[in-house]
Parts: sequence; structure tokens; C-alpha cells
Amino acid sequence: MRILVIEDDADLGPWLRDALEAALGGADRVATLDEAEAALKVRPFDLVVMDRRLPDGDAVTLIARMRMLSPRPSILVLTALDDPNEIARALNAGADDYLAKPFEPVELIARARAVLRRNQLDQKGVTSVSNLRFDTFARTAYVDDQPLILPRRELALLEALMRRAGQVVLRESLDNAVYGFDDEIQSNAIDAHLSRLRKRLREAGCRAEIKALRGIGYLMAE
Amino acid sequence: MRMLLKRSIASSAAMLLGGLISALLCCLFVGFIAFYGDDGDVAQSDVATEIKRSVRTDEAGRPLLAPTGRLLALQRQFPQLWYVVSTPHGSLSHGEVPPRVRAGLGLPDAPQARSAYDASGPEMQLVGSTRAGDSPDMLIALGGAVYTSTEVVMSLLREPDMPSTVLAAVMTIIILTTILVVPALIVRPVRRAAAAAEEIGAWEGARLPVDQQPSELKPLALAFNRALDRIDAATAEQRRFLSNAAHELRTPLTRLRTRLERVEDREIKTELVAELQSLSATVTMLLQLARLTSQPTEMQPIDLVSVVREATAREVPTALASGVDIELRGEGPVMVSGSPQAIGIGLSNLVRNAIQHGGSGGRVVVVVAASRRVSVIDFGPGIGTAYGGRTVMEPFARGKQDSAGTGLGLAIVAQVAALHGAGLSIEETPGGGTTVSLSFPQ
Repeated sequence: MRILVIEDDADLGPWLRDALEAALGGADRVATLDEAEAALKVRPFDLVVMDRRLPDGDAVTLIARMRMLSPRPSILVLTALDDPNEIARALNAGADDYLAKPFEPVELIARARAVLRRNQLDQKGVTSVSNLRFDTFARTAYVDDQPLILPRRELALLEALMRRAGQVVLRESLDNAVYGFDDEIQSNAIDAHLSRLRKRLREAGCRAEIKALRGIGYLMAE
Repeated sequence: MRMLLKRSIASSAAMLLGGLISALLCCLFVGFIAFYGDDGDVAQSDVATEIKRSVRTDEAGRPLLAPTGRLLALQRQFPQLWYVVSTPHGSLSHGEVPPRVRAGLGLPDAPQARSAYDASGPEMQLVGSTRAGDSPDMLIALGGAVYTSTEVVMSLLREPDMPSTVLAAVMTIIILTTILVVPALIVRPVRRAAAAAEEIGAWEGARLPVDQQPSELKPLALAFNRALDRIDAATAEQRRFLSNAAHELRTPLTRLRTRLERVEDREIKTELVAELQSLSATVTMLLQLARLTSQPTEMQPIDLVSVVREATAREVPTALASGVDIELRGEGPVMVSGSPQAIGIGLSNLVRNAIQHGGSGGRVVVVVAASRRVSVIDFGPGIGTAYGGRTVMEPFARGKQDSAGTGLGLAIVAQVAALHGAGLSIEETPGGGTTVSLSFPQ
């Protein structure tokens, strides 16, 4: 695991590097866009945690270039700009998530883990929450390395929830994840699939839990 | 006149033009009559027509007079009136027939009679007049009847002839065209400019097209565009200020928060972190409030249910951390015109308030009704006791027991409501708690 911290603040920069290193693994810190570009040329990074306003420019320009890298690093933007338009700009440029300053250290680590998990699922096809592991290529879920046999739609639901573990997945996005264009969507079908999925996970001894939020969506929690 | 101008410049102008044209035409008409007018032509034509109606011929072909009422009236009107009706077989007369005419009688030749003038007086006088149309053998010579101008007009109105009918039709067409076409001519470019101005909306940098405007509207369009320039500049300045303020306030807060991690004493650390979080929340909300009040809001058709669902979903982690059960009721779509960001910010604040104040209830219900009413319901101690009648929507108004809140949440919600013309109401939840509702207009 290699993390790049791009932060010009002399106090916050080193702290971020230390905190992320302690929680996730080796981290480097740079203070300017130029230094960041140089660092990205030297070696691949799994995660980039970056400030928007840097002495030599707006870091949003760097995001697009990082998306082209292979392997592509996960990008978490820390921003003191809370204008919704600015946040949308960063996400549209290709950032995986943003975190408004000031933030709770716990929140920072949780968000970093979440974007890493999603990126891992995209690039390696594997992700895990607690003792539950999901392999997109093998189309199989494992609880404590024991494969779990799941029907197609429940598998699609599990993938959608694991992709955004720790965050609420809205009902609409679950509909989209499970049904194709030609499928007829029945309004209660998702709930039925989910309650079966939850039962199966519970019986297999899974410690990750799918929380149902009535009228809002579902959330995969550790 | 002022009232008229206020109603519509175009229709007032058209009416004025129409009126002027009618007056001008009337003047021309009256002038025409006054200058070339009735030397007796019109009156004598009227009388002759009436005479013809009154004359019969007997078996021998001699004319007989059976005067109509109108002829009698004309005879009374013109005491000088005289006439001779002659046919090849005889004649009859009325009044004092000039000897010269009498001498010419017995000449039933029409053209001669029609062009006979009495040139003995200072003015030339037409003496012979109408030849009865369908009976070429009858000649009516008459004189001594002259209309005044008014009488000529009245006569023409009573029995319109071809030229005056055409004249009247042309006049009507001109006046109607003026009244109908002029407003359209004036109004169309104004409407077009107004439509272009309407298009501008919240899109920054949009301007009225100056080149396409008629010259009268150009100064207005230019002034309008300059006003937009100033507004855009002020908005941009405000936005710059707000994002600088956000950056300058949040950066030191972040630095402070990370430094607090180094505090060894757990009790002091927890206390300081809570204080700092409260300060950070105040900063966030102040910036939100400033942005809502100073920045233009772009309205678009949105589904209230999905906007509310997204905002509620954002607060789920907070709810779960506080052990509060959160639920959304409502079937979409419920369409309103609004800004999804602003409504989202308002809703987040309401839900956060409910989670905080819900207290022992441990349950928050968000309801989106088809009547475009969004309610956030908690089952806590209720707002009434905490505020003691003070207005809760004022910035920094806070409940007595409430030390964690910033007192800005409801001020933000009130601002969001005002932006959307929505009604904001705070009621007691039946059975205890607070229900805050936003009712959006159609």
C-alpha cells in the first residue's frame, strides 16, 4: 500500500502523512503540484489524498491526469471549499470522494478505506467487508473463505452494496444494479431479494450487516 | 392620457394615429365640400330623384305629379326651388321657372338640358340637372336648391352613392389598419427583447442581443446589459469572498483539530473536540446561509422525493451514530420548481436538528406528501418548551437546554423556504415532539 498526500499546510501535511501511514500503510507527502507530478512519475500510488488549493494552482487539473495512470490511484479530495459547485467540479474531474475540512480523523480513515475498497473492486475484482469477501470475476461471495451460493439478482445486490460499503445505497440505484433495460421491475421485488440475502448471510455467520432504511435505501455496515 | 400610456404605449399610439387620420380625412372631406362643394349639385340631385319618384305619366304620355312626403318637405326646405318636368307629350312645373329655361322647353334633347347654365348672375349657376335614368324621354330641369355642408354629409349618409361608399370603406380600412398594425409593429420587437431577457435567467454571462434590437430599444438593451455586468461582477466578487472566507476559516480549524489529536488527557481532549466541532458547524452553516442569501439560485423542475431521499441518505451515518432510527415516507415523483442543492441543504439541517432534538424518542420520520409538503418529524421533548415563545427562525436563536446546536439551522431552512416561496411551519407532533414542514408552491 502506497499513499500520496498532497497538502501544502506545514502542520496538516505531516499529520495527514503520519495518520494515514499508521492506519493504512506507507505514505509520502508533497506540498505543490509540481512535486506531486514528479512523485507520480517515480512510482505508482494506491491512494492520493489531496488538497484543492495549492501554491502553484488548483489541484483539480491534476485529477484528470491521474485518472489516466495505470494502475489508477484512488483519489480523495480534502476541501475547504464547500460550494456545491466546487465539490461537483472535483467529482466530475474524476475524484472518487471528497471530504470537507475540518474533518474527524476517524472519518478520514473511513473514507480512505471506502475509496480504496471501490478501486480494488474495479481493478482487482475483489473487495471485502469484515469477514465477507466478494469476487466479481468469479461471481462468488465468501464468508470466512467459504463460498456462498447466491442467485444472480442477490449477487448483483450484494455487489452494489459492497461497492459502496458504509454508505447508503438508494433504492433507485439498487433497481438499476439488479435489473436490465428489458426486465420488468416489481416494486417489492428488491425488498424480497434483500431479505433473502440477509438471511443467507446471517446463516453463513457473516459479521457484516445489511441495514435497511425504510424509504431511503440500504447500507452495508461492518 | 397617463392612464392610457400606462396601459400600453403601442395601443395609445395607434389610437392617437387612428384618431388623427380620421380627423385629417374628415377635414379633407369637409374642405372638399367647402371649396368645390355644393353649388347645388347634391341638393338638386336629391330633389330630382324625389321628383322622379313623384311623377307618373297618363295614357297620353303627359307627366302627372303625385308629390311624395319627402318632395313636399324639400319644397318647404327650399322656397326658391323650381322645376320643370317635360316629356315629348307635355310638361309640368313648380315654382318660378326662369324664362330662359322656359324658352328652352320643348327641346327634349337630354344633353342640352343637362349642360344648360345660367350665366347671367355673378356666379355661374347650374340650372339643368338630372335626366331620369330609365325613361330617356323625361327631362327634369330644376334650380333654387342648395345644401349647406352638413346637409350634404347627411344626404350622402342617407343615400350613399358609389364614390362615398368607397371613400368610407377606405377610411375604415386605414383606421383599422392603424389601430391593429401599429401596436403589433411597436410591440413585436419589445416582446422579442423581453423574451430574450427572460431567457437570461440564472445563466451567468448571458446578455441581450443588442444588434438585433430596433434603434429605440438599443439604449435600453445596452443599459440592461451593463446592469447585468455589474450584477455578475458583484456575484463573482461575493463568490470569491465566500470561498476565501471558507478557506481561511476552515484551514485553521482543520489544523486545530489535528493538533488536538496530540492532547494526552482524554477528558480534556473530548471536551475540546466537541467545542471545535460546534465551532466548525457554526462556520459551515454561516457560510451556507451567506451563500443562500447572496448567490443567485438556479431553479429547475425537480422531484421532491428524490432530492429529499438523497439529503436524508447523507444524514444516515449521523443518525446511526446517534442510535436514531430514520425513515422516509412518500411515493414519487412529486414535482416542484427549485434548486436541488438549496433544498438538500435545508433538509439536511432539518434532519440533523431532528436527530439532535429527537432525544429519547430515537426515531425521525421524513414525509413527502403529494401536496408538495415535506415534513420532518421527531418524537423528542418538542420545541415549544425550549424556546419559550421566542422566534426560532432568527439566526442564533437556541433552545435553553440545547448547547450543541448552532442556532443557525432553522435560519438556513427559513432562507431556503423564502427562496422557493415555500411555507415553513413548526408544530408539535401529536403525542410529543416537533414537526417542521416546508410547503412548496405549485
